[in-house]
Amino acid sequence: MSTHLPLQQTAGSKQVIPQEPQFISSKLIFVHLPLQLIAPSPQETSTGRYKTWDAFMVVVTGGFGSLGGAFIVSIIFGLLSSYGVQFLSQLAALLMFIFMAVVLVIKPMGLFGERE
Amino acid sequence: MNRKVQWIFWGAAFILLAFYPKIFGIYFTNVFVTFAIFALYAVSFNMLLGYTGLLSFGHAMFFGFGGYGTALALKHIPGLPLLPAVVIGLLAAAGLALILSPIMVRISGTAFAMLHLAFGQLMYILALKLRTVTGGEDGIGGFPIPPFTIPGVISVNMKSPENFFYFAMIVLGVSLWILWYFTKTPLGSIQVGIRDNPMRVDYLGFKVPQTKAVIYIISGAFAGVSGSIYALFQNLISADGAFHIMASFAPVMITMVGGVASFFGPIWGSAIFQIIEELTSRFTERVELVVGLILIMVIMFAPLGFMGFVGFLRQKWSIRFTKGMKRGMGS
Repeated sequence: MSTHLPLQQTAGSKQVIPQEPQFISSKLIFVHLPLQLIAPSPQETSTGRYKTWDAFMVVVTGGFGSLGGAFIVSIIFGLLSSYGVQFLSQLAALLMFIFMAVVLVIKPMGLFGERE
Repeated sequence: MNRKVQWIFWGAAFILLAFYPKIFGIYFTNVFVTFAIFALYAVSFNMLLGYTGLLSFGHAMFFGFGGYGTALALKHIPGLPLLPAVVIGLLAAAGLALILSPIMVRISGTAFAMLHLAFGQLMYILALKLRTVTGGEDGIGGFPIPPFTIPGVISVNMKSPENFFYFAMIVLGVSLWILWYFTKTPLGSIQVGIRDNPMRVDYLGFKVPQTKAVIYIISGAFAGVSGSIYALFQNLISADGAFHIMASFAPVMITMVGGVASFFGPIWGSAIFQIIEELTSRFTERVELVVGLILIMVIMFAPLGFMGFVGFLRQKWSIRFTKGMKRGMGS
């Protein structure tokens, strides 16, 4: 029981709680989200939203800061979606997400990302 | 003295809530129920983002699982009472969180967010494609809503919006209270410790992955409760309303605007969003225009959201106040 006393003093007190989780301010995703929301015409918003997500997914799956990773993964995504429509038309939209999930479960930093 | 003021505040809020449908009428009663549903949804999301430091882009899957769980149970089990239906929604979302937790506790940061995006889209497309179970794009609508009964005591008809308002307030209020109480327990303190320094918490002898899993399941379960109330409130649950990517972003934006780091921040954020939507939709259809602008302003000038801004003002005011006191004493 005595083990959690030092933690409560450091972490449980009220002074600690008003801190910003660090990765929020640093990620560009929060910059482009409002930009999408204010895009002027209805057709444009939906296309822009999904294309941006595709690009973001490619970068995360390939690994942050890796140009070659982004290139290879974008080719893999393209092939997956076009062959997916050919052979598994019902679940074609899922293949990219499944590929990304498998990669991130095995290597959370992305295919060619460096360990943090 | 401070405690007494708090009791008076909560008493006044309770009395206002009790007479709310009588004062404001049916329309604003329904607006308030929507606000409360999204408040619980965003608070359960903030358990992950604000308290544990895990950003999720797919929290809607728990919301949707709760809604679909309740809707399917009411559709297929004849004579199911109301509260067990809500509990089925909670268990469905908690079960999903339990299944996903072994994967999710091992990662954090961007991978956590993107993996949630992937699973959220998986659920969305499954809900669209499994037409025999989920009804595809139409969703499940028109399921029977049973009366709220305590056997042998009362039976309240839930078809009337006023009665449903009281039922929703009790369920959502109790859920919010449970979450608030959870943040005050030792486990809730470890949560903050994991956000600030997981390595140190590990050295102190706490099991970080298991703690994360427990928090994850609790957060998912209460998102499920809000989804199940949402399904009962609309009498409809559909893939676009419950699983779509914008349903995942709603709590992100609500929490950002309300304040990431405080428990009551998301509740204020939900209220702000509801008010903006209510006011804007009287003049123009482009609610997103105003919402996006406000989001930009908040991220640029008040990164801790509404609650952070209030705290900043209060701090400034108290400094000025003490300065004035000193000057007054000097003269």
